[in-house]
Amino acid sequence: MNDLAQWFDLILAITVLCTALLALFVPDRTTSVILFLTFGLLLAIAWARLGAPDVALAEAVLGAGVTGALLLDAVHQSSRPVPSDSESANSGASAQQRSIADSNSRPTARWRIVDSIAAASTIVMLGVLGAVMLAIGPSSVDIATEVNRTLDQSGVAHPITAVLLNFRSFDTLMEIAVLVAAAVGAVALSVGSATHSQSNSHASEQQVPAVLTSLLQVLAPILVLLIGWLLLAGTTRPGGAFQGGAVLAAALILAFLVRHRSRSVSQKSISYVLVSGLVVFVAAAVFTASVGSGWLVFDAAWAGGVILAIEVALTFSIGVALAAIFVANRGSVR
Amino acid sequence: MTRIELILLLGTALTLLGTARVFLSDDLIRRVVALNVASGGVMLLLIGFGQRADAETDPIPQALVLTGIVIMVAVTGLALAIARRIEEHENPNPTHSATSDGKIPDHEQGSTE
Repeated sequence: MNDLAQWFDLILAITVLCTALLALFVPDRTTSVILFLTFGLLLAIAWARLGAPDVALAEAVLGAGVTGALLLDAVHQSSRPVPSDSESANSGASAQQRSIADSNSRPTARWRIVDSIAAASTIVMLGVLGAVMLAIGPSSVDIATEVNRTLDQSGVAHPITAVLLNFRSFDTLMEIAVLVAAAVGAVALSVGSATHSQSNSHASEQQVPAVLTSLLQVLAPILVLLIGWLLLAGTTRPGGAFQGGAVLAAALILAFLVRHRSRSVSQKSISYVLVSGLVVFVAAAVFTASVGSGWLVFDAAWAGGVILAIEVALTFSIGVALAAIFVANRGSVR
Repeated sequence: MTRIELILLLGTALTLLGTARVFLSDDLIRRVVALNVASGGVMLLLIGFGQRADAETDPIPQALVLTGIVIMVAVTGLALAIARRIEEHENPNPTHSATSDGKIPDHEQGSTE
């Protein structure tokens, strides 16, 4: 590695740390959320630098994109008054003394002691844990070689997809189950909330900017192409159901923002797509258990086809689940 | 200091600071942001550990982190939905008039990144 790359990594690490610190400790909510979005994008660059392009793709679309949409929406629709400017102006002089906790709504003297103790113990923990992390030696098992040795029996040529959907496919099965549970939970919470009735009654008054409509017209075909490419690319190179699903979620959210006044998607059709990933995955598990050699043990002969089928269903499920969570947060599920 | 050591220290710092903020913040949305920062730190640690062996990149931490990113978005969405209901409950008469402007451009910015 040359000098320039080392400097880049050092500067990137310092920038990530500073952005995170600002996102955590800046007094204003909106500023904090926007700094967090910056943090997500910087983290995506860090993943790319660390030789993890799959993670970088997912982080850029999900960590910065979909999470950003969720957080910005929450900040803007929040019924609670944002910590006001006057408050932060009053405490502006003492902003540097402000330690870990919010001092806005707390009785000062006692909480200042609590905050100092918390800050001190965090710093001590930081030193101890940092030393421990550096002291841990490399693992004795060389998993990377093991994965590459068995890769040709997995049905795909990309090691990460092989791990996700063959070697450790139970993880992914559990993941889609958690995702469906979260989507159902968010939709259930949105029913009957104040934002629910509010957004329905104000829906006709909201103006969709023309630029957003044209953006969707330009982006929609590109996004569809990108989703298909990411999905198929996953078998041989970085990409796959997670990244494709993430782009699908972003596309659906964009479409919702433009068209939600004129179109209403029925809850029933959403829920069929939502559970399709889980259903296909469980069906594959049952099939391999009854016909093959065990739960989710794929024979090399037909592993590729089964994995691709699961990936297609997963892409739609992940995309619809994440979009449903966003729409539920907007309170407009019909 | 090597790159991996740098990543491990950065991951440790983000995990601890994020966790501390989750426990010590009053604001529910700020807590969700802090949880996301902490999870970013944990992911850096995982990837960092996966790369210490010089020979090849270990695909298993990368697969775990990929799963983790998707789960974190779902957790964030559910947590925000709960936070919203709690804040509605605490403020029965919210002032929504100020929020109807400028919503769409923000989402556009957020969802296309």
